[in-house]
Amino acid sequence: MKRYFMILGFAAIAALTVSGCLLTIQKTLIEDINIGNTTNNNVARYWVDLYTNEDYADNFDKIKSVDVVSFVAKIYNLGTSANKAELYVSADTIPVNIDSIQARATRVFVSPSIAAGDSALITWNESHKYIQNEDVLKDFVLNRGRFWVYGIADSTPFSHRIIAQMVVTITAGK
Amino acid sequence: MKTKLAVGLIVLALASSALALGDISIGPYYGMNIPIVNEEIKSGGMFGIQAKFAPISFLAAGLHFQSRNYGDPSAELFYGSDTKDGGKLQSFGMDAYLGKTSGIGPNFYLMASIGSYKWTRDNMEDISKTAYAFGPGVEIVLPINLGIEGRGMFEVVPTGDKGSWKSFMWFIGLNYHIGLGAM
Repeated sequence: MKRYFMILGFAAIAALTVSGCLLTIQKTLIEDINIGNTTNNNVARYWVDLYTNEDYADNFDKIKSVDVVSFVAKIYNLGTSANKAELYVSADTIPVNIDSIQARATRVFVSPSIAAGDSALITWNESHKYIQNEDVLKDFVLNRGRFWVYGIADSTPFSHRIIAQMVVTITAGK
Repeated sequence: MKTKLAVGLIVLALASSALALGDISIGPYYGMNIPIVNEEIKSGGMFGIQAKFAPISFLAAGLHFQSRNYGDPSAELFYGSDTKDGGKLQSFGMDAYLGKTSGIGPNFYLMASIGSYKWTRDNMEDISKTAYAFGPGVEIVLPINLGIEGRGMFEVVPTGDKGSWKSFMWFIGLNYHIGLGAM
């Protein structure tokens, strides 16, 4: 009887190993997104190069799936009217103005409305509420690894300071 | 004398076999689920209810319901250490047992199960997956129709693209046996 148990156990483990299921891990990557000061007259952007992220560089050729992506952020509204900060992503270099960004990049984050002179901290647990087009973000992480992130707002004029990080959970393995 | 002894032993064996047939047991259990190499969730508690039916001595089938709490994962972010909700999980499933799951005394078995798995977290969409688990267990059935059971399980939840979430789980449970098997 003991032998049958062992054979069944080994058979199950072998089947899962062959299918790749046993050799994968879940890893959380954190990447700085230092947009800094951005205004409607001088839109700021940040070049994300995940290949400089040690965790990504170690695993990029072994990523099976990108499970979760979100942005944590501290956003200061330095302007005179309340508005929402927005992050857009683009793999291509596009003109850095609001019209081009809205037309050619993909909006992936919209903050809650922040009063003039106020600030907002988007924590990790809250961050998922403010993500949009997560599939595009996942595709950028999985298939590109390098892309632009632009910081604008939902209305003009705006003047924000954005300190952010992208938090990504991947499944990786052989 | 020898003939009577042999007949007596045969009758005793048949009676024991008969008593081992048709056992049904039901009971709650409590344990832990421990995610393996997974930074998205941490270990948490697990509560469940299961029912088993053993039509013959070495095969049984069952159903289970599980409710799990995952611990919150943590990360060092630019504003300091932070956590997010690990979430709750509910699973309904079917179980198959190879080995002895009925009869008074210690019963050893190997179990495999398939379950429908729903993971709920704050601010995130629910995730539904199919989960597979297998592992050994032992139940000591007392003459009062109660069994104390312990089981360890390895669970795999395929996520597509040959990836998976994996957990080790263990529990201790109490089962009430209805039927001849436990008498």
